[in-house]
Amino acid sequence: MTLLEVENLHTEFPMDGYTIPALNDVSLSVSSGEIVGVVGESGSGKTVLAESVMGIVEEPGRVTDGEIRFKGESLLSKTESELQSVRGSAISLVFQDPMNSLNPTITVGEQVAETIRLHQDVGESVSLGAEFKRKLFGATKHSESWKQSIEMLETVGIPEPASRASSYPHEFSGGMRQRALIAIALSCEPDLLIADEPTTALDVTTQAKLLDELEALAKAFDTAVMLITHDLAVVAEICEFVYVMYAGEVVERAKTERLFGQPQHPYTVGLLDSVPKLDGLTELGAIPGDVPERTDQIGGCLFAPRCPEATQECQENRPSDRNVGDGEHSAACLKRGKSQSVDMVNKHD
Amino acid sequence: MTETIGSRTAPADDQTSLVEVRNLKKHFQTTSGPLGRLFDGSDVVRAVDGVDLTITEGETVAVVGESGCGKSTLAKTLLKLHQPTHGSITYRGTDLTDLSHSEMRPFRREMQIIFQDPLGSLNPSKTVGQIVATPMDVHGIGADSTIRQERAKELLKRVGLSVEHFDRTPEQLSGGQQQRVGIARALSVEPDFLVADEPTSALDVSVQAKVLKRLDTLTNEHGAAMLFIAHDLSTVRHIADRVAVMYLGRIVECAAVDELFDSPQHPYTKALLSAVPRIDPDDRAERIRLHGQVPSPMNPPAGCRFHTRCQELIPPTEWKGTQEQFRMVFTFQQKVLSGIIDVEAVRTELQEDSKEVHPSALVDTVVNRLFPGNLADLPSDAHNTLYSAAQYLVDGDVDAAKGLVREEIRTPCEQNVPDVESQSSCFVRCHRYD
Repeated sequence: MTLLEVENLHTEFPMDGYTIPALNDVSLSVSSGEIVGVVGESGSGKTVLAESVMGIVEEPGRVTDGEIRFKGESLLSKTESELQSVRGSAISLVFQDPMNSLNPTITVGEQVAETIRLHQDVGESVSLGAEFKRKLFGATKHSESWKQSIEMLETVGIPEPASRASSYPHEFSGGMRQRALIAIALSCEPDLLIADEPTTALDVTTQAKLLDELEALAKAFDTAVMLITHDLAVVAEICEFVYVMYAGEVVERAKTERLFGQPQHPYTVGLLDSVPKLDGLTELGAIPGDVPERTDQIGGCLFAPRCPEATQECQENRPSDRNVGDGEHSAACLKRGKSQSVDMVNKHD
Repeated sequence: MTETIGSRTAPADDQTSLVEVRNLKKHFQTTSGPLGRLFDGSDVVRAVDGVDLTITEGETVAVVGESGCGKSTLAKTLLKLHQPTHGSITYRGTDLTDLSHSEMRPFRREMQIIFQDPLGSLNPSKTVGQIVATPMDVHGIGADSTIRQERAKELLKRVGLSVEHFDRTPEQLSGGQQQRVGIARALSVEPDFLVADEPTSALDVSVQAKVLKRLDTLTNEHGAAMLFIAHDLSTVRHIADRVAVMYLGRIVECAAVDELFDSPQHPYTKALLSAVPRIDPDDRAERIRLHGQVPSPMNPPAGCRFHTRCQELIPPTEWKGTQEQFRMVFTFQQKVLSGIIDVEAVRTELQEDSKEVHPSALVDTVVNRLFPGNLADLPSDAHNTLYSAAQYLVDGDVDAAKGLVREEIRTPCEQNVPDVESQSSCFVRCHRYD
C-alpha cells in the first residue's frame, strides 16, 4: 500500500532579489513497511524534502506547488493543529544531532514516556494537575507509560533499560542517544519514520549496529522508513529503493540493486565512484566542480556544468524523467532513456 | 568521467626516519581540584598511553580508531601542541620533547596541521588570500607581499579553487572549499611533515573524495610525509602506506596498508573493517559486533585493553566449554561489575501479576538478564557461579557478587599486557599471537 505520495513538489526560498528553488518538481512514494533511501550532497534539498513532508519548512521558505498525500489525504491542505496530530503519531522524524534533540533536564525514560502519553491512550490522566505533578517528578515507576518506555528502550538496544531509563541524556553515549531518539520516534508506532542522517555523527561500529537495528525494527513494526543520507554505502546496506537528488531535483530513481548495478545518470555514476573502496584496486574518483549556488540561473540540465557527457543540448534543455530499463528505473538525463541505446559501460562489475 | 587518484608511492627505500615517537603519553587532569587529586588518583584521563610510532620520509601513516581513542591527542602531542606527559618525540634526529615555544619555532615551518573543523580553523575576518599568505609572512617565505600573494593564488589553484575565491571570507565557501583552503595554508610553507586530523569527516562523500585526492597528490609532489587521522578505515586505503589502529590510548595493530586490509590480525581491526558499509552486497563480510561500550580512558581495563569487548577473548586453560560460552560468561561478569542491573527495578517489573515475587524467580530473571545466551549446556561450575552471583545481588550484597565473579571468571587477556616489539614498523598487540 502506498503510504506517502509526493507529487511534483516545489519548495522555494525567496532570497534578496531572487528565489532559490530548493525542491523542483520532486515526486516520490513510500509504501508501508518499505525502507526508501534519499541520497544527495549537502544542498541537494534532501532535508528540505523531509521538512516539507512534516510541514516544518523554515521561513521564508514555503511549498509553492505540488501535492503531498499521506494515506490518501492531502497534508498541504491540513491546518497546523491537524498536522500536529499527524506528526509524531503517524509520521516521526529523527534528526541528525542526537544531543540537541533531547531535553538535557529530563530523564531519557521520561522523555519516551511523555511521547507515549501524548500520542497514545494509556489510561493515564492528562489533567492539568496530573501533568504538573509529572513535570515536577516525572512518570512514576509504576505507571503504564513508564513501563512502555522501558520496553521501547529495550527494543532499540539500550542495555539494562530498567535502570538506564532514569539516566539523563548527557550520561548516554552518542550511539545510545541516537537510539533513545529512535525509541521516542517509534514509541507512538508511526506508519512512517523519516530519519535525516541518523548515523552521520556516529562511529562506524555504532553506525553498523544502528543500521542493523533500524532495519529489524522497520520489519518488526511494519514501519516505513525514509532514510536521508549523503552516504551511498549506507543506503546500499538497508534500503530497498533509492532516490538520488541533485540541486533540488530527483535525478535518478531505481531499486537499490539496480541503481548500484546499472547506474544511469552521470551524477549517480560520479557519486558511486567517489565512495572509498576497500579492495585497494579501484581508484577513487571525484566529480569535478561544486554544487551550483544559483540554480535559478541555469537554463538547461542542472548537472551539465559538471557533467563529462554534457553537450550543447544539455546546456539548453532541462531533462525530465526518462524510463531507463525496467518500469521503476528512471533518470533525468537527455543522454539516457528509451530513445537512446542503453549501452552504458558499467564500471562497477 | 572522473579524475583518478595517483597510485600510492612506496615508502622510501632508504627508510630514513623523519619522526620517531617513543613511549609517548599524554594524560589530562580532570577538574576535580587539588583536594580531589590528593585523595583520588584515578581522575587522570589517559588519552595517549604509551605509543611508539615511526614515520619515514615521504611516508603516509594513517592512525585509525573510534571517538575517544586518543588519536587527535596523539596528533597534537606529536606536534607539541600539547606538552607530552612522558616519552619522547624526535624529528630528524632532534629531540623535540622539552623544547620551549620559541625553540620549536624553526620546526613549525616544517611540521604543519590540517584540522577537522574547516570553518573553525580559519580566521573568519580574513580573506582566503590573507589566510594562505599569513604563514609565509610569519616564516619569512617570499621576498615581499606581492610575491606571497602570487604564491597564495598559485596554491589555491593547485587545491582546486579559482582566483575568484581569493577575496572571499571563509564562511562564503562550502565545507569542501574551506577544507581545501586549510590544505593550501598548510602547504604554503612547504612542510616536510603534515598532520591531517580527520580532514574529511565533516564533508560529504563526494567532496571527501576530492579533498583526499588533492591531499594525496600534493603530499606526493612535495615529498612530504603525512600522519593521517581517521575514525574509520574506508578512506585510509586510498591514501596511506601504513596503518596504525588505535584503541584506548594505545596502538593495537600496525601494518602496511594492503596487509591490514587483506589480512587484519587484531580482533579490533577485524571489527572496524567489518563495520564499514559496503555498496556491493558480495563484499559484505559477517559483521562483528563488539560487546558493551568503550571503557573510560580514566580507568582502562587491565591486561589487554580491548579484552572487555573482544569477540575472540581467550578462555583459561581449565575452561571446559566453548570459546563462545566463555565470552558470554565474561559478559555476565562485566555486567555484574558495572553494576548495570537494578534488582529493585526487576522486582518491580515482576510484581505486575503476583503480589509477592518468589526469590528464586527473581534470581532466575537476574541471571537471564545478565547472561546473553543459553544456560543449558554451560559447564556446571560456571553455571553455579552465575547463580551464586545472582543470589548475592538479590540479597543486596553487591560487593560479594562482584568479588565472586572477579575471582571465578578469569581470562589470560586480563592478566597480562600483550607485549610486542612495538618499535618495529609492523606488529599486533594481542595474546592470540603470543
